[in-house]
Amino acid sequence: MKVICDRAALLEGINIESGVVASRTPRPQLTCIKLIAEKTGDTGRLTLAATDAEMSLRLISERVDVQEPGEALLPATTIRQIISAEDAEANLSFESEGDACTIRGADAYFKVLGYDPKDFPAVPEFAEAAKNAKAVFSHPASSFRRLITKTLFATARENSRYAINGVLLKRDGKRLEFVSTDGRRLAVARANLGPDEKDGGAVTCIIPSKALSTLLKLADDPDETIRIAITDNQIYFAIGAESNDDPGRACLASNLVEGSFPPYEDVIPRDQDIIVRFDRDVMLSAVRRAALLTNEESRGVEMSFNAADKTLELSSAAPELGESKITVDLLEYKGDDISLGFNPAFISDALKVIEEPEVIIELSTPKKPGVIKAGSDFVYVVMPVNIQ
Amino acid sequence: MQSGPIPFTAVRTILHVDLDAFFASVEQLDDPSLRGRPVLVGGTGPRGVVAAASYEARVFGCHSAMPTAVARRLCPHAVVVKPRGDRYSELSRRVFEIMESATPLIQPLSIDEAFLDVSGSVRLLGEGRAIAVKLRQQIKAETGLTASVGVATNKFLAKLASDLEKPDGLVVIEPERVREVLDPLPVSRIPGVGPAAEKRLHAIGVRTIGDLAKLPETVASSRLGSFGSHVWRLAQGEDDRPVTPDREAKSIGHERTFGADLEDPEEVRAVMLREAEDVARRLRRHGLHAKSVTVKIRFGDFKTITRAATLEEPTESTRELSAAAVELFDAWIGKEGFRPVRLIGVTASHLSKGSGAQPGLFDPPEARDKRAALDKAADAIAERFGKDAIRSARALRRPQDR
Repeated sequence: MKVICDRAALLEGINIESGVVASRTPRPQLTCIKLIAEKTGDTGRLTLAATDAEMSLRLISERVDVQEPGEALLPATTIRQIISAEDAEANLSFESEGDACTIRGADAYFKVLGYDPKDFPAVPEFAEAAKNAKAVFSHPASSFRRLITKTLFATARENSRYAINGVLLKRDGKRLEFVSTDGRRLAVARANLGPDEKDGGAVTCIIPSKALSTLLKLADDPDETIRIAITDNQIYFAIGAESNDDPGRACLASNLVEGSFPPYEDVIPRDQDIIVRFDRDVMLSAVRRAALLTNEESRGVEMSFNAADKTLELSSAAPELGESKITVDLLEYKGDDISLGFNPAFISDALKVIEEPEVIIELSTPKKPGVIKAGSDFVYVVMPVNIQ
Repeated sequence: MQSGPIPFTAVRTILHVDLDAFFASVEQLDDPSLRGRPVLVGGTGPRGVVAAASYEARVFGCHSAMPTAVARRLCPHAVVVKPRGDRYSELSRRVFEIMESATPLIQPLSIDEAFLDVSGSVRLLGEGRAIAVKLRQQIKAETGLTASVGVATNKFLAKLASDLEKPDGLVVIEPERVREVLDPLPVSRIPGVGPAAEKRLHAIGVRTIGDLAKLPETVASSRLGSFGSHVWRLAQGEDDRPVTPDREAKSIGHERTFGADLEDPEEVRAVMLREAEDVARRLRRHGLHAKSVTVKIRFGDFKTITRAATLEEPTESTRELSAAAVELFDAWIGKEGFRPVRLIGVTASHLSKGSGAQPGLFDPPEARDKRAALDKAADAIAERFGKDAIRSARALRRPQDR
């Protein structure tokens, strides 16, 4: 293999692939990135591939000059550091010699020891997966980003009871729904399916958080389309793909999270008595300020709503730290006065991902969950904390 | 009006309060027939250890941490009494309440011992000696127990002082008497000077605290390393460590050593459940929630392992604490296989006041309230009739039932 690459473009790809490789594994191949150089007509094509055995990512770049097709399997950390440090160079050349590879700039030469590319696990093709898929459909990258951003933050790391270390994807005839929870709060984001995609059957699956955070880095072009295939135990995303046979510029495949998602629909309260409309930025600032005087021992912020004045007073107090009081003017208030406690991070997390300038919170009693709503496509349920 | 700790550059008044032979004194207090007789409080089984010896028993060389069997040999007519932890805690709480009337700056060292910084109370309550006299009277009047108190300008001297005329003593070391008191004492009286350091000091002819105080500081630190200059400063009678009240216990735990190793995992689980129940009850009594649970397992060969888990949310619930403890134990069995157990312990740590406790979304509040009500009812029964009056059925399987 001999290939000359645009350094900046290559670094971008290597950085994303470095996030995929396994951090701790007895198999050194899983800490490597595979480079595959091909010639297609007069242009060259370089594919970068990495996997941690749970998910795999292939990135395709056309901004390369392939002088000799071939493959190399190189430790991700080492090549990322070299490509990043060679910042005076516009181009870098890669030339494989057996399992090693030399990287050359104008004044530098590196020989990096790698592994036999044949020892790299086979990375499945989108087209192959699409044949056996339960569902295949396309969705705009911009909408996908929104769905991920509005749910990924509320996932749990590990949970023994439920499979909540990922986001539930639910697709029915008309809509795509993402749901996440860490057991104390729940985020639901919805998007309509495009006119051509409405007829597919219903499907649900749980996507691991790592796959979605990687996807977030990839889905940065709002005009692109993402093609999705869901099989019994895997999900495939082809970014920028027009059809099942088009690999697009990036293809991410991930195992699904096994296990059951909690019965989340049962915990979304309906018909709450108190309905409050407020300005998102004003509230976010107030919650952040009140959070300054909380600590691990006293995490709750008390929210006292006053119906007559249409105001909210946020107060916090932490032993050995101090206390705060912040007043917020509300836009609209329906219902009786109520006072309850929330973990301020849980409120600000949601307000941060809401794009609408006005937000609604619905409440019933100090022990029952509150519901934050923005527009028609975001519902967030949050459990209050005990305030003493 | 000064608030908070007095800066340690100012002259401080520090008290060290130490209840005399605490557990044994409580037993003699509650059972008049034991008064004047040698009493050993401790386990009676083959592996029992003395937790406290009355002064009558100490005459025969009995002391705490000694195997009960050995103490019995030294003093065959001693009465051996099983410890009653709840009663000791109750009296200890009462004594700490009395101390709190003198100052909020109390640093508990154990159930029966504490440092008090009364510097801020001197104008209100009188000088150190007067405060000490009053505390001793109050403790005697309200609990019937005697306390030895040392009064000095720092912790080191105060602790030394309380020990000088034990039991039932009150010693004040005034600044002008520091050398007179310290100089003749052996260097081993300085905390931290163990047999090794003592040997090294003896090698250069340093036997008493007075000898050490006369050395240049550099010689002390070259003999004893980095720790040497701290020890040298103590020998000078200087100690600027503040009295740091730790508001809460850092952990609450129970452990039990078995007379014979437990061969059945189900028996170990039953003991763990009882320990977890007791730990949870103590958490609730102190209004605390725990974020971590640790299980300690010791085998017949004394090899000891500990396994800890962090809970999703701080808890005071018997059920959650027990579940976490048993889960740790089962995970250990699953990974390494069961071996007979000599000791099992359950400890709750990362304690906090329950404020900000976050109930779960998928844990219906009704079920949660029911469990809390159950815990509360069980606590009330245990408070009234003793903790073995109410146990969960699974916890009732006892080794002796075999």
